[in-house]
Amino acid sequence: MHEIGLIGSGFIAGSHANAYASIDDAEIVAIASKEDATEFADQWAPDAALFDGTETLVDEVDPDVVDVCVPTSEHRTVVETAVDRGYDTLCEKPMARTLADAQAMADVVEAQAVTFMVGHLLRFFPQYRRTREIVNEGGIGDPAVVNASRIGPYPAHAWNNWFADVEQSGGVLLDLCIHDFDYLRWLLGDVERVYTQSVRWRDERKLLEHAVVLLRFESGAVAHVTGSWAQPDERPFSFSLDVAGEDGLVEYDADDAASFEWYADEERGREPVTGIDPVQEEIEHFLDCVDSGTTPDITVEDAIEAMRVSLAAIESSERGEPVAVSEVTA
Amino acid sequence: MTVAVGILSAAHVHTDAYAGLLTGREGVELVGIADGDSERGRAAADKHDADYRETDDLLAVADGVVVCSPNAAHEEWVERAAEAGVDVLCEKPLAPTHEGAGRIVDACEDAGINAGVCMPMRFSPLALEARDRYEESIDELRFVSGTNRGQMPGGWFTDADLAGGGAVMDHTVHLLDLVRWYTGMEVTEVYAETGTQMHDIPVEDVNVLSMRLEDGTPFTLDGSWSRPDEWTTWGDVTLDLLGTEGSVGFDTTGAQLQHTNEEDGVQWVPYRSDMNEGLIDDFVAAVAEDRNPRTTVREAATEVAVIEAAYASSERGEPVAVEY
Repeated sequence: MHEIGLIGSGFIAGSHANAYASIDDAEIVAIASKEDATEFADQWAPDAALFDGTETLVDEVDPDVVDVCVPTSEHRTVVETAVDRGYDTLCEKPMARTLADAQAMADVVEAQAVTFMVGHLLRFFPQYRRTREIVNEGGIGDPAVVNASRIGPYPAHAWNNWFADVEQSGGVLLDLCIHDFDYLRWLLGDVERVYTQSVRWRDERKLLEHAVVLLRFESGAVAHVTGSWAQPDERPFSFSLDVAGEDGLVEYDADDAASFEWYADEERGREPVTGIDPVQEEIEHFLDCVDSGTTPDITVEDAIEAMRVSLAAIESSERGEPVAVSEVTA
Repeated sequence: MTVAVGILSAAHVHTDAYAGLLTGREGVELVGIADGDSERGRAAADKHDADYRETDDLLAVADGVVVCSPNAAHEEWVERAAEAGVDVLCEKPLAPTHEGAGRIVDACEDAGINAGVCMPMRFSPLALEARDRYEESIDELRFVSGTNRGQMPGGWFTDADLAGGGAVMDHTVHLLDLVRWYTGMEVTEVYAETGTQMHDIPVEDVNVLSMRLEDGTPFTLDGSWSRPDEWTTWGDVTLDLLGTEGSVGFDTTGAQLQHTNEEDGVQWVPYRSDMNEGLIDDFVAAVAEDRNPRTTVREAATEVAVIEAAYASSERGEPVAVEY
């Protein structure tokens, strides 16, 4: 049994708690939250002990694993607290708000030799995994041009509306597009340069931001990556992937792939049903690595490199010119 | 009145569609096809029960001509029509260079003929609906993205001397023209990532652009030749316009039936009206009413300037200001 110390009680913490409920050999034994997490615990882990900080949680409960679901800018502090004490740690994406923070985290992970993984969730979506298998099997020849998008309204569900604070979240390019950046690095290898155009405006408490990044990979492949928090609230969140190669094409569009729909009273849903919860897959992979002592598929270096692509994209949007990822240093 | 329309050069893949539309329609007569390659011209004429004619003969009887030559020959064909005082509808892009496009505009305007380019998307029901909705619901435009990804056309389209380039030359203008038409703004700056990566051809097949409109609004476009030959249709045209109060978008691959048979496998078949029909009807009406077709050669020339900037950006690895 893996005893889990969950840090955070917001939206993502809920998706993790939901996944733990389906994992037989894991149990949330403690929750640390700045907010009163009684209601959260009632829903997900009624027996969990509640704390107001990471330090007291780990010192008093001594869990097996710490799972970090707090705003990005707080990752470093929480991860350092846990890893420094030797706890295996799963951390939400992106790894950190700044490269300096990420590097400091990497240093303590290396020094403590714990199992550490950043949860780049897309790698556990069956449609994205299968796409990669097709590409790796030579099903489309060498990939040449990719379109990836992640489009929806502003995510107003976050605790304390922290996405709207760019100092905490990094905005769309760091928080949202990094899903595709990590996946595309996994699919195509390292990124040479990026060119970004982004727009941002505010409406009451919303940070409305829309960005398109052109990426040139070292392989020569080109990608057009769209991230949006700026869609009307009426537009459901959607995502797509289109990988064209010299010998073929793989396309996925969540809008077209709504294989399941239901309508009942006020509720309705339309979504692809795969029988797989990517969050559960991600956590199970991490726990497998904890058990076996192997390095997770998403390495610390991967998590840092994905961040560098995001930070290069942000820099490009500010400078109005292409930025080499190698230019981005702590 | 019956408008007499001829076709100058049958080199373009659209020749057949235009010839078909010019035949058997009220108010218009296909009075002949001329071509520097007489065999090709005769074959096209025979197919549509039209006359193959020498160019001067055709220009003597035609009120208007559709120029379906390779891009590099547009200038020569349009100038001959202009000299003869015959109205012109020219395939896109207008010319391989902005300078050449400018000479075509001058020739048409000096001769006082009505002249436009083939921009069928301006007659697409989806694009027209998007234009209406754009005008109704998007006050403050913030971002434009589109795709015009097609199959690699082959033939002279991949010959740099005849086409002037590859996917950038071929697949930039359709969406550029729509966005210019919707917004009334020109593109001021272009950044391009291009390459030849999917086909063994001497021109680029990757065409991914990140442009900027006059007011700073970003406009990105994937116009690559990235749909396999086996794909279910020739390509796509998609467009998304994002404003502060809403968004509008369309995808041409959505308005199609899926048709399966033994011979062709799975194919998508458009079920809405053929946009080429609107294009040809507009040209015939333009000739009859003595006005320009919907997209004028002057507008088309500005679009060639954007193409030129895209090539310059690709070469220099930086955003390039468009010189009009």
